[in-house]
Amino acid sequence: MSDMPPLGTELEAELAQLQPRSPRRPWLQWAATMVLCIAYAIGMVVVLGLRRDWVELPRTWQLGSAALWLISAAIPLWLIIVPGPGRVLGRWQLGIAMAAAATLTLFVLNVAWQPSGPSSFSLQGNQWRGHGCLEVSVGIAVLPTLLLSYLLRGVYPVGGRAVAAVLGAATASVGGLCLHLHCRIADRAHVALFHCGAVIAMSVVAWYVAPILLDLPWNLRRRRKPQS
Amino acid sequence: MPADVKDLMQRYCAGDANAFRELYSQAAPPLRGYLLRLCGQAATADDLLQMTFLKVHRARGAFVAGADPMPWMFSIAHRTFLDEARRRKRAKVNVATTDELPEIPVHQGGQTDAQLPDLEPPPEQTAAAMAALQQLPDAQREAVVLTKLSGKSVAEAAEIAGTTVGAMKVRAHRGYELLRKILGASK
Repeated sequence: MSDMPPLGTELEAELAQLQPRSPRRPWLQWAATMVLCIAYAIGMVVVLGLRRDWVELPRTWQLGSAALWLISAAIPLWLIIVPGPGRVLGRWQLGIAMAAAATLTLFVLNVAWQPSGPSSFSLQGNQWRGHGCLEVSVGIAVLPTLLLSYLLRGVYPVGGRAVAAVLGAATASVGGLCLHLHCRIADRAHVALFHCGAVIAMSVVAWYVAPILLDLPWNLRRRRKPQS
Repeated sequence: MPADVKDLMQRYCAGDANAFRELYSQAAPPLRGYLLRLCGQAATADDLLQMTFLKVHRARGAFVAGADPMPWMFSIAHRTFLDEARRRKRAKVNVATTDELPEIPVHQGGQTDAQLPDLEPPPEQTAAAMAALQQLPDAQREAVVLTKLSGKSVAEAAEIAGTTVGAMKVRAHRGYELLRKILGASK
């Protein structure tokens, strides 16, 4: 200890005014995040409107697909927000793996099974006409991604970009849930490409944008305070 | 020691400044050793250590009760080193537009005792190894320092460096191979 440098003046000054700070409660954060995401999804479906063919579709598919979209948001969020036992940092490596696996599962299941009813809509081979769903899903995901990035600022000294990508994927899954409840286009390719593709697109957007907020405290070098 | 550090961190978060000083006395030596091996300069390592603890202080609200703070602190030290390395790279570019000389880390072909206060009295071999370490690319140097010199497991090192276990193994292996090549060539 004797050859350790003494504490700097800035740190000493901050220690002189030390206030108790509650440690982070990861489980509570995750639960609050999920409540917010579900409330946000309900709000968006109310705004966008429930799909007209909803009552004509098999109940198993309705609930199963909705549950899968929700799970593909919940598990990656849980992995990055709730650390392993005795750890401070979230498990973003597992979060990435889970987000990728969930997206792939949704892609395969949507390609394999896409029921339709009399009120469902078909693009009749012109898949590009449905690209609006990609933009809507990404648009829905932007606000929660930015909000969560701000709320989780300073939690990840390393791995910020990866955490951002997982956040983007998870919130785009919330967007996918909204589209599942709103979009009546029953083409398999449409759902697989645009609804699931939004998850990948939002991951890329978040990879570049979200670290600006996530890394805020780490990028600040020195706090300037007026000398009294 | 880990139990004590956990307890100190809890007390510090609860507002006990003395707990922070005790935490500093326990955590600073390994963190400074890590930073010193990364940057190779005692003065820079001391500055990075101060910045690391300042960041720990400001980010204490992100700590999770009951967790071991050391891997988290190593991650913050790692991030602080990376930010400083990037800043210095930018400073090198600025040299063409200003009259000021940038602060460029210079390899001096061996360190003195004064520069490496927390290492064992350095025999020639140690000095040569430390000099060779500074010639490794940043990512490989971090991997070698964490896995070979700081005694961290590959999983711990990956967590600190914010990368995957596989990537850390590759970096450490390549760094070790390059280190061996550099040391072999200098004989």
